[in-house]
Amino acid sequence: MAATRRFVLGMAGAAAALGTIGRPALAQGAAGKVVVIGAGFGGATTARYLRRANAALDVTVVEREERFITCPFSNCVIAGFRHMEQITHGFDGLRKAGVNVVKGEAAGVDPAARTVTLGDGSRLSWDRLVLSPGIDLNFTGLPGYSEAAAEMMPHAWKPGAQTLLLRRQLEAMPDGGTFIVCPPANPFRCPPGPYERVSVVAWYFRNNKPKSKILVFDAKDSFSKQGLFQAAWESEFPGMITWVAGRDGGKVESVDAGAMAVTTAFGVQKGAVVNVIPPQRAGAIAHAAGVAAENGWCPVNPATFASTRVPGVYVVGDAAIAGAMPKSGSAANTQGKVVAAAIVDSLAGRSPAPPALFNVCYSLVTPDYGISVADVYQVNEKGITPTPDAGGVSVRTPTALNERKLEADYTYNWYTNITADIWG
Amino acid sequence: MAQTCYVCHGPDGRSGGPVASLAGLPREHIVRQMTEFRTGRRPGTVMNRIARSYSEEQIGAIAEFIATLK
Ligand SMILES: Cc1cc2nc3c(=O)[nH]c(=O)nc-3n(C[C@H](O)[C@H](O)[C@H](O)COP(=O)(O)OP(=O)(O)OC[C@H]3O[C@@H](n4cnc5c(N)ncnc54)[C@H](O)[C@@H]3O)c2cc1C
Ligand code: HEC
Repeated sequence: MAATRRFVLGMAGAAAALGTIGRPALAQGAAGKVVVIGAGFGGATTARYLRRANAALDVTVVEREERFITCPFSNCVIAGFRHMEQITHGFDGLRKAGVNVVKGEAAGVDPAARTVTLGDGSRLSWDRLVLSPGIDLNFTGLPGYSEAAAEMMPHAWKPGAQTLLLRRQLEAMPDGGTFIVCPPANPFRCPPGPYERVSVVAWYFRNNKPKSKILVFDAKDSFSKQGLFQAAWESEFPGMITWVAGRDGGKVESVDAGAMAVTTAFGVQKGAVVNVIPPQRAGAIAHAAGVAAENGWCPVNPATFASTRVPGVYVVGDAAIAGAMPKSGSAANTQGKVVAAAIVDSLAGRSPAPPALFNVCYSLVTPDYGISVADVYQVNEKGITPTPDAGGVSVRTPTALNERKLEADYTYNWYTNITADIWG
Repeated sequence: MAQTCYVCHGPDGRSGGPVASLAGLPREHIVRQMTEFRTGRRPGTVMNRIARSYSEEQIGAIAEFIATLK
């Protein structure tokens, strides 16, 4: 009897230990209803890994779009070496995994009644709610910018029509034109994204419009993978790109879409094509649900991504305040796995297993030149921090290994594998 | 922890690209490669940075799990 009990306890211990590594795909835990808002990087991962961890769970994803277009590789579409269909994913993989996919707009959350109201007035009830709505653009954050202005000065920070608009403008631009890019202050979606965009557009110009220039007016004084990007700009596109730091007058004070002009401390600068990336905040549903703070983003428990504001609600991806983790698709993917495990544990009445948080951001400078930053994160009283003396960026000086070409190949590899993990 | 490897090595360790699949690799092979990446004896583009983030015990546990993937 005693031996049996010890054996059973031992098994439970082994199962818990395994939980920190990865769970076998069999039902182990209590049933329950989970609603996930958003079928993007964070939401689709969460839904899928919930079903893998416990096939007894009733998992519903609410998504306003018919298909998901990824921001990752949208810069390649803008530079002309990828097509929209290659970055568009349907939800059949989620359905096959046993996830209910509901097309609709989540309009409101009642945390007391534990329901979500959809745009058509229908209601879904939940035991646990996960929000992964991504970002909303703050059109009032920059004087002169608006949704109407974005038809002339695209942001292309939400993929789709905006991506194609920027592509068309760059194609129509005469050789010798100036392309102005205005990245926002921190925090924002995809810290290396603006600089990857500058790089691959420079590649397009080098091949097609070599007299053209790129001017980057930045709100910041430094940026992600800066040393690697700037070294690449010098070696690959000498003289083409000028980056102006915030402290040197790079901060954009206002824009005038009619005149295609940008005002900084330097004065007024006109561009043939102007890409304004405005400030951002968590998607509207996070604010409606009461999980967002004054600063526009959602505070969470760093070990579980449970909202610190509303019980039973979890926030992943760009909308969450995740310590040192960037707002990236990779980060949203590991956060989704952490939340799935935390919800399974919480429904089963177990304490959560230690979270495994990781990020990699690959960026392309040209189709054959890749760089990366990668970190495994620790969670402790300081919140989420990178593991010391590990992680970080690609080698500064490439060796006989030919790192830049290999990392370009591995950038495509990452896209193939992460999208298969999420929507495949 | 091993699920974080999937973004580059493929879901359940089955890669659709040039980075190697992990599914099917024996525990000892994974431990040896991870240790060599960690010490720098085996060069790489990114695995050295990743392997240095884990303790020996964590590498053992990750390898244990991956060895169960078919
Ligand atoms: C140009 C660019 C390049 C990038 N490149 C990379 C890269 O190379 N690597 C990388 O890791 N990351 C990259 N990113 C960042 C990445 O796209 C985001 O970090 C990631 O999409 C965040 O995932 P998420 O789940 O928070 O939001 P999303 O992926 O945006 O998903 C949110 C989903 O929720 C839906 N939704 C929102 N509100 C509602 C509602 N109320 N009702 C119903 N549905 C709703 C939306 O339609 C959307 O489908 C890039 C971003 C940009 C802009
Ligand atoms: C950011 C992408 C990325 C992630 C995440 C990643 N790897 Fe790797 N892995 C690579 C690449 C690329 C190589 C080839 C060596 C190099 O360039 O660093 C590799 C090689 C390996 C190899 C050697 C395979 C062989 O037999 O030659 C092993 C083992 C390995 N990785 C294990 C892991 C484990 C375990 C994890 C998770 C803890 C992991 N990797 C996470 C990209 C990644």
